[in-house]
Amino acid sequence: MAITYSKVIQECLNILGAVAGGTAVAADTNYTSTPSTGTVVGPDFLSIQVQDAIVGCQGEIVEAIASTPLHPGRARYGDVTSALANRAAIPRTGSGTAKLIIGVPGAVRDSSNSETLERMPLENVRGFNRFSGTIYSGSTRYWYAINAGRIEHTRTNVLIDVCVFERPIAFNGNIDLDDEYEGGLVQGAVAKLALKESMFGDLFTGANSQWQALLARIRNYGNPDIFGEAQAAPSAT
Amino acid sequence: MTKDELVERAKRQLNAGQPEPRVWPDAEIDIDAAIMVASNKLADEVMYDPYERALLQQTYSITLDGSGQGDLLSATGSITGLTGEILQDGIRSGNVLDFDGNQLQPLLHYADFLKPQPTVYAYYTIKDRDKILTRRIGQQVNGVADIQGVNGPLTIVASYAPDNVSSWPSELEDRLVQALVDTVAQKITPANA
Repeated sequence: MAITYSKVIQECLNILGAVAGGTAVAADTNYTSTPSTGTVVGPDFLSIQVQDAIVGCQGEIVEAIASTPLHPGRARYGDVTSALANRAAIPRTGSGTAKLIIGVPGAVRDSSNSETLERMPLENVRGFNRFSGTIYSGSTRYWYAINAGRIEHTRTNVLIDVCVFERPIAFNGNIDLDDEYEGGLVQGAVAKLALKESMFGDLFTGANSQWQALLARIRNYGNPDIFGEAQAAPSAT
Repeated sequence: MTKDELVERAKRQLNAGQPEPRVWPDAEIDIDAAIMVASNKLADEVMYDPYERALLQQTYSITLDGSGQGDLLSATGSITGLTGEILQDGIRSGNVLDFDGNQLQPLLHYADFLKPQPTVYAYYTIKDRDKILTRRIGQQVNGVADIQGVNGPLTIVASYAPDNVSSWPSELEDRLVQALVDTVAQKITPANA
């Protein structure tokens, strides 16, 4: 299953009272049609405006997922960086999709054997590298630290699992979100649009509280007390 | 046992039973850096223990120059194949033979090496950090001009401190782990404890 832009746009328009139709049959026909200027009351809430609000909310949901290290939905937006040598700058785009990287990094892996690296204080990584041929000769360490946009590590090359996202350019198909986000996406878009009408104050309050609750639920996956003890991905060290 | 295995064993021993937050998993680099101290400390203990000394003894063949002098630190160990591991104290508790099979007696002071000594023995002393000086059997010495070196090469059985963790004999691995644990645990013992 999947959620489509058309369906979510119509759901938003319905809550905003913007589906055209003087009779139940006409309203039903417009509601089930592909949204257009002919299916809405207008001019306050047009389908293209609703579409933009939905895309805005979509981006916020994806950002919340990508910024939550333990969230299972990260894989949907997953990509990997190019191979990064020690002290390399972390790229802005994923190597597979060429889309912009968002959120926090996921696992850092050795590019030769996919062994995951352990996050360590920068001082440890630098100390190991500085004396890898003397004090630490014969030791094998899989360590990394991220410092001011660069990654320092103890391997030859590493890959970083990342999330990527860019604004969609086609709106006649499915929304790149799991089905469970349909309700929250509608509430978020309604909250953004309801501000246009002062009489929709209560509607805004209700929709916005549900929208914020959805974002909080997503970010709660970052709580290791609830969702396991996996190491949170780093922001900066 | 590899170096990584040594660090892992020490880390797990230190970590066992510790309340949260556990500090040792993040201390691998500190444990790693303490290996040399623990290794040398244990090698010294073994050298002074007659029951275990042989576990860290190996044979060195040392070429002598025309004056009967040789370089200890450039000698290659027969077991480890490495240079620079020989413990100079460990030569005295080992054995020094010249090419003719004569056992050389140690003289701890260079001044004694220059003095008259019983001529029934050959002698050696260590000088200038890593130089072994020899004095042949049956030679009366009244001063430095009288000294004649033995015929080389020397065959020395001496204690050594392994440079690599993997060079440690398996019989001593448990003690090496314990020595490392003791070394790093000492770091967090309050000075006034």
